[in-house]
Amino acid sequence: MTTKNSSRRNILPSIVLISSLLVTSCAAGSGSQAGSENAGATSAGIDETTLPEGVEIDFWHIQATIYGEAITEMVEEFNATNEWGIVVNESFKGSYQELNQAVRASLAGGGSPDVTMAYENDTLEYLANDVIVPLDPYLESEKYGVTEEEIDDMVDGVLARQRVDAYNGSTLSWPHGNSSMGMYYNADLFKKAGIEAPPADWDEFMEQARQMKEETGLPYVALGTGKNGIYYNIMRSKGTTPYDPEAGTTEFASPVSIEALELLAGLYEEELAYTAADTEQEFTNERTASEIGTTARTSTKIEQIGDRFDWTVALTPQESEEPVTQLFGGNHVILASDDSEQELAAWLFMRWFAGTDAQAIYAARTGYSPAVESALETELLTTNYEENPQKAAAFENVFVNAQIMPPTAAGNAIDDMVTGVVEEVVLGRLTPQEAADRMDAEATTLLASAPQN
Amino acid sequence: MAIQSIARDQRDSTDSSKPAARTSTPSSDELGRWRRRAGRVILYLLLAAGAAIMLFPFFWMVSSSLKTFQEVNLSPPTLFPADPQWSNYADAWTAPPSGFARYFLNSLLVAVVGTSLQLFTGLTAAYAFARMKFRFNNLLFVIVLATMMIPFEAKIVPNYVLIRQIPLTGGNDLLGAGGSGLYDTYAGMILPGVASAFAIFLLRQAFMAIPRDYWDAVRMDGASHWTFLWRVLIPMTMPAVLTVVLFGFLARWNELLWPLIATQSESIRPVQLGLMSFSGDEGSLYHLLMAATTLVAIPGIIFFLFVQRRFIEGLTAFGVKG
Repeated sequence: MTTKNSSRRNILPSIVLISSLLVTSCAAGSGSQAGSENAGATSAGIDETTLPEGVEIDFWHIQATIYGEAITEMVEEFNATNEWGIVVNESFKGSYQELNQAVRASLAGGGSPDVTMAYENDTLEYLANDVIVPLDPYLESEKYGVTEEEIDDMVDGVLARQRVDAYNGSTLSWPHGNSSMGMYYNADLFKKAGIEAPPADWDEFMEQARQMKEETGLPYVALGTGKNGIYYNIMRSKGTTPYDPEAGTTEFASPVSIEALELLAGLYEEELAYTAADTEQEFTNERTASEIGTTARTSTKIEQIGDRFDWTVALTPQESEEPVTQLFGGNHVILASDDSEQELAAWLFMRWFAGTDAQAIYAARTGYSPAVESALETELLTTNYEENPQKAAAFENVFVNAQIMPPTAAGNAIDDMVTGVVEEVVLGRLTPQEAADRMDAEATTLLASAPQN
Repeated sequence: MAIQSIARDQRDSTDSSKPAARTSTPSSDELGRWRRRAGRVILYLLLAAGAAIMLFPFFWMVSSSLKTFQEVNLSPPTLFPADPQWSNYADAWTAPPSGFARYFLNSLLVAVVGTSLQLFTGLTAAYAFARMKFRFNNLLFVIVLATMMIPFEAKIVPNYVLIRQIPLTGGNDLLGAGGSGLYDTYAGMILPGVASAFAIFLLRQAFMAIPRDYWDAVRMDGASHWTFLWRVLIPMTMPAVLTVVLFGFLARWNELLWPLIATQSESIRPVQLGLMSFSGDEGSLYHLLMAATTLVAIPGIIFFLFVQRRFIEGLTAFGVKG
């Protein structure tokens, strides 16, 4: 009898503990994944929509520091001036990776933002999950769309990335404001070494590097730890796109790739280049004559360098008819909701953000270049570029030539792999031929295993 | 005869060495003392060097917090700020939209309430595992321990779904639909961490180290489990309890990713997210970041100093090292 009672009494702690375990393990609930119920929205249907006053939308982004302050200022401006009374609630969500984690969680549990920043790889992922709103009906809407002039006003590379091949003819994103890969150079040091202008091609780049070392004893260029960017840039400047996600092929084993790797290996072997975690510090502290990096850092360089030396930013060397460099940064996308008014309000905010006035604010406050050329004509940006000629150079010399790499779900994995292999080359552990063969084999496998849309 | 002679010689030689040994005794003692002193000096020097290495990041943080934007980016860096910028602290304090005071309050609330709840669940679960006999006791404990092996990243989505779909909160209906649940609330930040396998493990080990005789004694006086836990076990295992409190508090104070995902409103976010406003994909404002980091580190350091001795006792006494 006692044993039986004791057993009954002892059931209670078991139940309590099992309940605790359930709380601890936090089992996934039945996620209410947003479906793109309005994916079939038409321009005519959108035109008929009358937006009620005070629609609230959530906007998630990755911008902190001066970029975050600029976003706050722009959102406040939009909230105060938009004719529909739309209220945008902006929220900083960390890095792109953390933002993507937050979006994934929200897609599973509800509460996804109306507008979020996203790279093409993320956009492809959202497309595969049917949670992204195609923008073409909005673009074509008579009442809420954009005109041909507005489209033509957009910088070529920025417009192209909103409707890449992988989107199957749709426009899935709209500009946020971007940067590009440029070559910052110390004009005083160049003059000291007897160099008149930045290099036009890679042979001249190598010659100048040797000349700089000989005349000043300084290395010619500082490169970051992620070597995939400069390697892609050399290949693309020679007219070769490193890989083709649709065909599943790569050019990593091509003669152009070998040339690029030999160039990089030579720069390191002759101690004309070196790797730095923070290339900006190397450049601003005059430990190198040039730096290859993102033009987003132009504004911070202006502040750090002051009038200590003369410098500017140029396009990296080019050897093909169409100059090209890397385009960095994300876009805006609309995540599907079951409310067409929310989606329309999201589009109107995105349209405003990519417009002349907003892009002028963004480019004036930060190191980003404007997505539309008309922003250059605004008083705000005209004054800002006059006061900061390096920012104007970043736009005119570099940004207008920037194009993204072909997007693929395997993009990040390929970038990591290429960075690792190129590092082995500059350290002398692999020959360019060995590296090329390895990159070709590994990238082909990665492309084949990536879920393409 | 020869053998006797050798033996005598040996004895003589032994005898002759005796006075010499007597005269050398004070100098060996001195040598020993000198060696001990030298050893101690070396030990202190090593400890001082270790302490200096450990303290250097703090020194660097404070030094950088007083530099200008230009100076903090100089290379080679300056050890001390050329012209201390005390205004960096004021700038960092006021830079985020809600100000750092708000972030501090938010963090304090989340850390204190979260740690209290975690301690409560830890104490009661550990008591059950250590002191009560019931079916599947060991199996359940192993399962609790196993949850420590699930990386936090793997729990983000389930945790998010859980707080978002808690019934009858944030406009949710009985089935957890229709509203935002505990998303963007203090409760949403606190709830996923209230049951900690580490706390349960540490407290269980501590409770099991207390002889059963104590239970028999208080039981004779008619005490309940709760009285035994509250009056006997907790006071006797205070180092372990404080260790759980310290770990819990610091974990919440330093939490970054979960509040980032579980909140949207800037006004309820904790200090670690406040620090992120000085560092982004396009560069960092190191001088303000270091000023803000110094301010954020102070409560944790003060708390650690208060419970330091008990904390170390807790770690060493109950088999948790490093």
